Amino acid sequence: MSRIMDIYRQLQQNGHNGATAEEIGYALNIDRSTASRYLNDLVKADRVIKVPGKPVKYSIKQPDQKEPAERNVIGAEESLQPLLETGMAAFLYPSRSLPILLTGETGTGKSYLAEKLSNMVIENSASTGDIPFIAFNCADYAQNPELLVGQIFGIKEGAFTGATEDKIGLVEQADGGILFLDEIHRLPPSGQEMLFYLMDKGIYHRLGEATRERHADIALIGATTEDSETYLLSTLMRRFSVKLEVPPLRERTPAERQALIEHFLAEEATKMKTGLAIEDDCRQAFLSYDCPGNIGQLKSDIQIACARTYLRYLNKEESKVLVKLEDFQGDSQVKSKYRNLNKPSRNIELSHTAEESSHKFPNIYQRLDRTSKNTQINHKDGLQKVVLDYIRDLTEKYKQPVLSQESWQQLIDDDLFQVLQDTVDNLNHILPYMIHKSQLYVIGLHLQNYRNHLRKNIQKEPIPVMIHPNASYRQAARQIATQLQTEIGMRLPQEEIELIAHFLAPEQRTAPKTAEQELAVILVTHGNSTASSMAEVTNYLLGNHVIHAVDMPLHISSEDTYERVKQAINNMHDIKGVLLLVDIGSLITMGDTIQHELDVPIKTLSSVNLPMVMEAGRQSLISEQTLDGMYQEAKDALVTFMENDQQQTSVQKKRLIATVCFTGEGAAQLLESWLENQLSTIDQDVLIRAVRIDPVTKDTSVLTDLRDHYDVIAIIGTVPVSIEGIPYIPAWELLQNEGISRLHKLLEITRNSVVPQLNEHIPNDEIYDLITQGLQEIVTYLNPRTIAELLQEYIPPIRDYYRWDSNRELGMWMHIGSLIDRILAVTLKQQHDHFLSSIPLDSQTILSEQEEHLWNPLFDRITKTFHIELTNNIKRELVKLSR
Amino acid sequence: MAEQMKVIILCSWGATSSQLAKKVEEAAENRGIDIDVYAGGTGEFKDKASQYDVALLEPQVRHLRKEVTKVGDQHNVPVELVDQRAFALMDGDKVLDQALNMLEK
Repeated sequence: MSRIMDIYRQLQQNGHNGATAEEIGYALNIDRSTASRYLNDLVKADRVIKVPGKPVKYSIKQPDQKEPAERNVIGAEESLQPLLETGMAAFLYPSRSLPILLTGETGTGKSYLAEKLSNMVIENSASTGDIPFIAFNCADYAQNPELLVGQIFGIKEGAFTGATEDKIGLVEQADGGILFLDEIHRLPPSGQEMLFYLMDKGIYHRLGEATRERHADIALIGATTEDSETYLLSTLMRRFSVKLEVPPLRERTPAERQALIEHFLAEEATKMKTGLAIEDDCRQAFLSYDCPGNIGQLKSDIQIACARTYLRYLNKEESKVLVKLEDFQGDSQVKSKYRNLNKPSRNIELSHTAEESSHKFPNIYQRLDRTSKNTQINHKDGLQKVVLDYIRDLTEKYKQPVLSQESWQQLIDDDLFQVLQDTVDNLNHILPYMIHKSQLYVIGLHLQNYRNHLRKNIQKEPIPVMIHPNASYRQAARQIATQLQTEIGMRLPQEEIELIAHFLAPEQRTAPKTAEQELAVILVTHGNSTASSMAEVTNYLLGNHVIHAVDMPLHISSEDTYERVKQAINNMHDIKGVLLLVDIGSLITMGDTIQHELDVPIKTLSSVNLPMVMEAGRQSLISEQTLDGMYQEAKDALVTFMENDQQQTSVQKKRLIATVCFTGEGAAQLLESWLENQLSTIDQDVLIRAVRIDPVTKDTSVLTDLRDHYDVIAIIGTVPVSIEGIPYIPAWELLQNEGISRLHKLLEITRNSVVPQLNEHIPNDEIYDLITQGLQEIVTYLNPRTIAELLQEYIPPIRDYYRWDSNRELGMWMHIGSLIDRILAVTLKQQHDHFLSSIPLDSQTILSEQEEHLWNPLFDRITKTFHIELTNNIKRELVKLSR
Repeated sequence: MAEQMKVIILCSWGATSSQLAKKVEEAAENRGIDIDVYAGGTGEFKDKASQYDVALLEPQVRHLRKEVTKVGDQHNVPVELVDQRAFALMDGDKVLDQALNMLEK
């Protein structure tokens, strides 16, 4: 944090009374004249006023002098006040604004805040000319790092294949104004370095434009989720002198949440162009439910509730638009808590502040109105479909948090997890550290499995009582046991309670993102991003930032590169040695020179390739490793790689994923079955093996044995183990998209080059043609095209809901097609009884509300189109088969 | 081959599989191959697995593959998924090839 910001903060603390330069200087341990100079800068920037007197006092400009834009921001006077003030001060920093980094969870409103801040600055600025504000989400191009960097900095014609003309970058568009980069961690290291250079010197290059330096003066705002910060280069992190953390919804005040709800409801009312009211119990539900997707989710949940309400109103089931508790789609616990209260309601004023621009979503109500006017037949279906589509769109948008939560919910019972959440406060009192949510998941997974065993009455090997030496963990474990018993009547035997203590031991806590590295690996290669891409892959796969990349674009001289490598080494503290991985030319000898200059042992390996980088990264994480040892292993990796190439066909070990936990039958087994369902057809060869890790000895010999006989591609579980050469993925990480994609990457790179010809993956858009042809072969009464068209329209949401792969989708098309043909046949021949006895009808499966919503449009349409009756038994059978 | 080969195609309750089985039998007849092709649901496979030489699983019951494979393993009956494309096109020839391949292994 820069000096001037410290002073501003200090003044903030002093409040209305202000402070003299001397007092400030004293508080911050700087001399008076320096303090005074900064204070006067702040006065010039209009953030601080002088209070006349002797000595002169300074105080923060008070909110009543604030700009109108600020007043529209909910929470501007409460949770967000320090953020907005610091943000403004950073912008108005004399001579050149300070770059701001916004961090916070998904949906906390980082981009909203960036936009508001920018508006305030623009309003506040003395300049009369246009100040550009450019906002860009790096995730939009995350699949293609080159193009992403090109978007931001511009592209010169011919920079890469497909770059057919010069392209202006966002930096150029934002020159003289503000550039907001959301999800900035998606920038590849090379892009981050370019950004650093721009922030530092105001200079940048378009992609592929080596000779021409371009200048831009921009105020930069970056945003990232906190857990992604590790993907940012430390140099870049440091360059953001102002870091603001946007608080999650749960830390905002109730009044603010209330105001947000009012605001979103008012927006909806404006879109409906009619009065809107909400029942108090429903409002209560919105106020209190757990909303992990933060404000973004709150908004879309409100939109969904309003859409449902409006649908009911259009269907004339009700005379006014009243949002009821049943429209709220949050968790049922909150619902039941508020049900049965008396039902007063309150009206919502139409919003006057909502501008058109804030309606990023299509206006659902117009869509509904239009549908209701245009279609006479199928009236209800049409409307239903519009609403369903809309809900799907919204859910898509907030898929991330919802998804990861769902996958947990599939695994852990609600009530069980609820108890665990309830224990948090108590546990934090007992434990010497704050418990992390991932630990709750781990314990939840274990207990869930214990419970499943009880339910199914499975006798299992009694586990020995293993006492953890630390008393506070044992006490915490007993606390959990007590709450489980009192809240849901789940009684744990002694050995289980003692086992939980082991789960609570701190080594169980989230594996640190960056392990202590005593040996550094620096990768230097020619080319714009060769080094950084290789480093990215390796760091990603090893789950650690172990490889430091220095790219050497052709226009950069070897002297410059030399300096950058030296700089990189200088920035590393407490290292025992450096392994330099380079490709060719002058880079090979660079290490020796630096070694003399810096007095750090350096070894260099040339002709680097990916296996070497991976091996070096892996070795650098082994605590006992020496520089020589690491050098040798990395060098061997090159050789083994080439040998492997030749004898690849002779020995082909089977791929295996090991799941681990303390019992081998708790979380490990749950994960095992979960993984089995996750594997796609091409990965069917992967074996999954649950392994027990003894909590006391932590013996991993089973895993090393497995490694000898199988190609172990990953160890997943609740007990961190490190087996050389095998990446470990903590279980909780798998339930977030990042973790899943890491697993998929690992599967992908270990796949045999020969993918079995059979069962190849059929793209979804081919299904229509294939099925039309296939049905032709087997049906008698049905027109294949009619049913295929119908399925084409109705299956996708069903497919997405159950997450069918193309295999199952294809199978279901065929199944439904042939089923309908059969029903047609018996209907025509009037042999109903005969037919009904020939298929196993299902009278037990119960459709969830969501499933009803999903299937009914399809069922209705089939009934109407083919004039046949689908009995409930048949419907149920279909749904059962789909799950 | 001493005994006649027996192939079973499995789906949820034998509807599409009986159609496909018919196609495969036709294909076999055309080529003069002596083979019996049955159709059935995955539920009944458990009890009858030992009667067959190979089992083919239709894609809509792909999620039951582990279960079915386990049963198959107990009775030494190899289990594979019907090739998707062949299934989609109800291509008896291709599915016949697949079954023959499995028998050779």
